[in-house]
Amino acid sequence: MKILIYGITDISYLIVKDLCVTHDVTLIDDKEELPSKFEKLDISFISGNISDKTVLKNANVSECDLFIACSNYDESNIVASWSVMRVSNIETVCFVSKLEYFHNISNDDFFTSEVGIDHVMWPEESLVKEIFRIVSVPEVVYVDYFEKGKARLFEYKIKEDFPLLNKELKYCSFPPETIMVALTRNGELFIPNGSTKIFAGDKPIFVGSPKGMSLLARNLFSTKEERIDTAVIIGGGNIGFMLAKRLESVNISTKIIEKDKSRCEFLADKLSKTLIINSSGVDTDLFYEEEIGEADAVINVTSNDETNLFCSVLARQLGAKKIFSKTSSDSLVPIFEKAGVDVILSPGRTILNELKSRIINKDENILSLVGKGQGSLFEIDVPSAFDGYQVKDLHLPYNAVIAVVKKVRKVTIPKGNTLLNKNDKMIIFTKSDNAIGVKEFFRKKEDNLNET
Amino acid sequence: MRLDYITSVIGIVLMYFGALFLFPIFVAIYYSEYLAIFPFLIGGVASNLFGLFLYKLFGTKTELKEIKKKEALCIVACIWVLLSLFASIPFLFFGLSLVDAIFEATSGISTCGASILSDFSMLPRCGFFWRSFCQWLGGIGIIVIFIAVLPQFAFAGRQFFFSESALQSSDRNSFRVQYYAYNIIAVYIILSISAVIALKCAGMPLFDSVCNMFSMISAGGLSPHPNSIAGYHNNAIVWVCILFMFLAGVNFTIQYKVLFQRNFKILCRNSEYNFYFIFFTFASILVTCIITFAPDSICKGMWLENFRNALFHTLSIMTSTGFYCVDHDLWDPKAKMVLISLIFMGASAGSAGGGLKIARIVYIMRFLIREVKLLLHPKAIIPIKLDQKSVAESIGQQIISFVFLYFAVYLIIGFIITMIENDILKGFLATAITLGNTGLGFAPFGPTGGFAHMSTISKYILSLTMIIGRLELIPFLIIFNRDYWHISKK
Repeated sequence: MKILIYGITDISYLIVKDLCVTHDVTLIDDKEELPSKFEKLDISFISGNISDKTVLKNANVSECDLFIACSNYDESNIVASWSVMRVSNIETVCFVSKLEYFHNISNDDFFTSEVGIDHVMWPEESLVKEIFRIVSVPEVVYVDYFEKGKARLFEYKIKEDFPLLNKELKYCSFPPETIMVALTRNGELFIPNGSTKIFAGDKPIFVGSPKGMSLLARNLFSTKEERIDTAVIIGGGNIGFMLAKRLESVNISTKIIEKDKSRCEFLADKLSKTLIINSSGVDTDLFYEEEIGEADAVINVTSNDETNLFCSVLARQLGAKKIFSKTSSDSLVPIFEKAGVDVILSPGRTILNELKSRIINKDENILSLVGKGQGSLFEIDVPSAFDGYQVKDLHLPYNAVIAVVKKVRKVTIPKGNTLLNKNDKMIIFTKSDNAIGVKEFFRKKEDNLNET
Repeated sequence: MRLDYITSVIGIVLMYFGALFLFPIFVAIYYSEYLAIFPFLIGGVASNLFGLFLYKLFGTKTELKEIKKKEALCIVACIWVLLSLFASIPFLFFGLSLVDAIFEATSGISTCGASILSDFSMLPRCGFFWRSFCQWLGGIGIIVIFIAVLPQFAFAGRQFFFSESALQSSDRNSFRVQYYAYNIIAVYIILSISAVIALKCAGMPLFDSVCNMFSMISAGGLSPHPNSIAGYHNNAIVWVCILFMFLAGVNFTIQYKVLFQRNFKILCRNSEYNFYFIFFTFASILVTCIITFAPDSICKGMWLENFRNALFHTLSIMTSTGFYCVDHDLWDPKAKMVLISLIFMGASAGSAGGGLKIARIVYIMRFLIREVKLLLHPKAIIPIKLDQKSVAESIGQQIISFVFLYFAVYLIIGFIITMIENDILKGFLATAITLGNTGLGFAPFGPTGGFAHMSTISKYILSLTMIIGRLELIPFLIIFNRDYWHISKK
């Protein structure tokens, strides 16, 4: 894949470093010289303004497959994406760091004419999602959202104290609007049936509605010791703010410690249940006073790595249960680990993973790959041959599960008697090897109908 | 302060006010009360001529763009006082003494609803119409009408508008005042028309329907019937009144948004409306329980009737209307205490009701809760929110000082009236119901009583108190500042 990247930044370094091994990467920036750490990488570099047509010509835009704008300025990124789109129709990825841009550009319904940028990414938002996932469902191994979050996929790991251990699936009752689509045992993924038993060490994969999934997490997988009910966020920047907003929505009682007073006032105005405390994170007295050590989770997301590290150590000393910390540079990760931080996150790392899974390694129609690629989840139209069928009458040939049925406005988790209409779409889970066969099955049905 | 601006504006308003005397004249002609035309004609002409005199007095100003805040405050205060005086002229011809006429007219204009009238045969029909009509004008705020109607006021509208009602909504800069004035008048008129139709359908004669509607929508409370709503002996009318008194106590902006913009969400989101509803429901249930279960209650065990009457009286007091459908003086003292506390609470800001206003009560409540929280977390930043938005500290301070001022004014006037009347209960009760614009209290000012027996000086003071309460103190308290009186020479 030929990839064009705009902007020399920390994040672009991480991306370039990872991608240049297997892809053909060209970097564009206004700087005349490539910084020394980039020079070690096998990439081509073009100096100049991205909006300049000679630069675009030099970069051979029309032959590239992907354009990533990740300079430090949102406006430059947007203009860059637009200029590239004007001269060719390659896929564009635009990084932004402001909430307003993110919402306006990634939502099609705001502008009257099409914005056209294929993917808008916000590193801080990905980080927030990641932290939130771990805080809200700490037992989950893997998580994926699709259909704008109306359907979710969770992979769990079964422990010795799982309440439905050694029981056949037909006797297990899972919450409504959830469905178990696969089970991984000893590294082998398979589609379970009614007589499958669950053993310790298995990794079942569930798909369901948000409500059903949270019930599932609460009823079957949450243990008292691991559940997080109170959280302290140190640093009230974008990450802290968005995280607090999400934590409020799941009723985790949250405190934010932020040193800038006017920022505190902004936070207090926008958040309803979170307690905002105006103090710097390195105020040790405050840690005692506000009983930071009693919190289930301490989340350090200030912009300063040293503060994050210090606060993590302090929180560990005071006995906080689970400690999260953000770091902007990869080289600090071992130090954070030594300090006893449970979860270390870097925005660059998270965005790189998202970039890779969503755009670079993607396949047509495949929404998600799970179990190290053994299982795949793809979308398919309901063939008109099946108009008015119930799910149980489909008789799918291979081991495949209909995980989600998308009606015009509604996303439902199907049961045996769910009706299919011809304008609906289905999301089907199957082993990756069988995916082609399943698609073929539906196409044949369609053809049969057309012949008769 | 520039006198020419002030006199010009007051002049214009008085001239137009003179024209409003035509309405009772039409009523008089309709009911063939030809003798009663004359008093209104005099009132109208007097108002008109005095207006013209003021308009010309220091030179006419037609451009009002550059009006200052303190001039606006002064104009508003003067207008309310002068209109009350001119509105009283017709009453003089119906056998009322000067002080009684002024008291009655002020009670009308300020939507207080306190009355000195004990003999209801003294007034002709057009006289009752005039009383109620004055309330209707006062209920929406006279200045609002002029802002909507007169082009000269369009520029200066902002200053006047916020001088007339002190509590500013959080989105005060998000609308054009003239447009806003049109809208609330539209809501007001829609409410009025539907109220007349509803009352008529419930079985009230047309004339009474119109007069009672005027008093009800404006949260005034002067009824043409000597026994107020109780005199009609009709339960359907009571229920209709409950509905429209409730609406009169809701912020007109919210009603506009629900009626014209179909924005129903605002009902769940608006803190004041929610608390209005909660306080009202809680108080009426409490009153129902008290009067049903109290050991020596006269209406023991009559659940449904008690509930209806409790709803009616809670609303009547809370919205500062002052109608009654039974004699609540006979109720248990516990129930009376609940009603007395509602006199102070009042209805929503931006409605026709008086009192402290629920938005302020809610703010004070949250302020106190915050103080407790800050003891536990000294470094926390906790804003006080109304409608999910933080209230700026400066507005918060205004609210707190307003509440203190309100009680200070209450105590001072109560003290003076007590001295004059030589009766503590009378003094403080009369002050509470005039400052809160309720107009109805408990014996001696309850359903069977009135203000007729008060001394002349008290009546004058209480008349002024009504206007002070209606304009929410500020335009009057500013009089005590020396800078206010600095009159600039040309």
